[in-house]
Amino acid sequence: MPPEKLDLPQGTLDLLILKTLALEPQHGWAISERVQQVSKDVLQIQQGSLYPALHRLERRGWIKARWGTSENNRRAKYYELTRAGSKQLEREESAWRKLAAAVAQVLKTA
Amino acid sequence: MLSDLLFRLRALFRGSSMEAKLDSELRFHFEHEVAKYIGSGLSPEEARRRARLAFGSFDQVHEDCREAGGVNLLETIFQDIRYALRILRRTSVITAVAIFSLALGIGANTAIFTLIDAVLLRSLPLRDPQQLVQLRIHNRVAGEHDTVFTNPLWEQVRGRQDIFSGAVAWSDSQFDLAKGGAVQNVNGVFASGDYFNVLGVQPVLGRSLTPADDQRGCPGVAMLSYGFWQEHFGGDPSVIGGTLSLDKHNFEIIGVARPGAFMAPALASPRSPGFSAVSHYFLQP
Repeated sequence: MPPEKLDLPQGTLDLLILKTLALEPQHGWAISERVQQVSKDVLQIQQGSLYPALHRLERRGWIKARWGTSENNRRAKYYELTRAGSKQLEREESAWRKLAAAVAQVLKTA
Repeated sequence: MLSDLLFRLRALFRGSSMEAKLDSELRFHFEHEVAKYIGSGLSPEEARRRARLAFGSFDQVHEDCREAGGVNLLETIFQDIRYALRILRRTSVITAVAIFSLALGIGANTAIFTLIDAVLLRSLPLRDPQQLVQLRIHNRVAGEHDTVFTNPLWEQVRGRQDIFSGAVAWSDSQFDLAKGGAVQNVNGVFASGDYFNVLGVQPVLGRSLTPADDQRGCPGVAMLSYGFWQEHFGGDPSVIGGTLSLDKHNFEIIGVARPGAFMAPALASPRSPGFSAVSHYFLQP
């Protein structure tokens, strides 16, 4: 039985993209694949929201794009984290941890 | 903020090439999806169908990316401007009236400001004009302010004042240039010896008046304004040392003041433009 797929809560997509790009520069398809793999198919990024998110992050200056050659020799657009992007990642990561812990705490006691 | 705007502008002006790049980026993604489905054992047709389903509408993704990339805000503004222009053209009479009244309003304001600027705001072309003070006599009986000083009174002020770094006196007047025959009046000023020195007006030719020219019993001398020199002597430098007849008395011409030099308030708006002379003119006691 395939694992249950969850919709991403508002605002977590940016965090997932930034975290994925922190490892190495990736093109869009690889980002969505990696998130899916790492989350054991629980998280799936819809293409319809991935690319707008990438453009938004690029506009904010948190990631930058350059054209490169993919593993099967195709021209692909690679995104990488900027310095501002890694600072933003730190902020969002700690905010997320706090939020998740707080929600878990409430669920446990209430 | 600035980088955001630059990004938007770049996105706007490189619109078509951005679109093409986005298109090839999305296609790249799509083909990887198809390949993945084929790899999991689906037929190519089925794989394409699945990938298309997963992807959703290409156009929608394009639109969302443009939105996220910030093109739309600027594009919307340009659309609004174009729309406004179209409407303005359609209601051309109202537009013409509106533009005409705006033009009148702006024009009238500009004209009034130019006048105010010339009369009130622009400072006099003198050294330290903000330090100038005008001395007046208050007539307690008549309740009037008078700027006319008698010569003995002026000599007392000049000799005794220690408040200011200098004191000057002038009186604007009209002089007759003609040596005989028809009267030929020009505007001019009686000026005290320190006049040019204190006001900081340099001569372009010859020398300025000095206090030595302003003693009881000394001969009167004349200094020309630049305009008068050009008008009556054609800018001839040999006028220095020559004579000028004023009210049928001969005065030695000692110098020419620099162009635009301020002579006296009355000469800022000469009654007969182009004819102005400055003269030191001393009557025998």
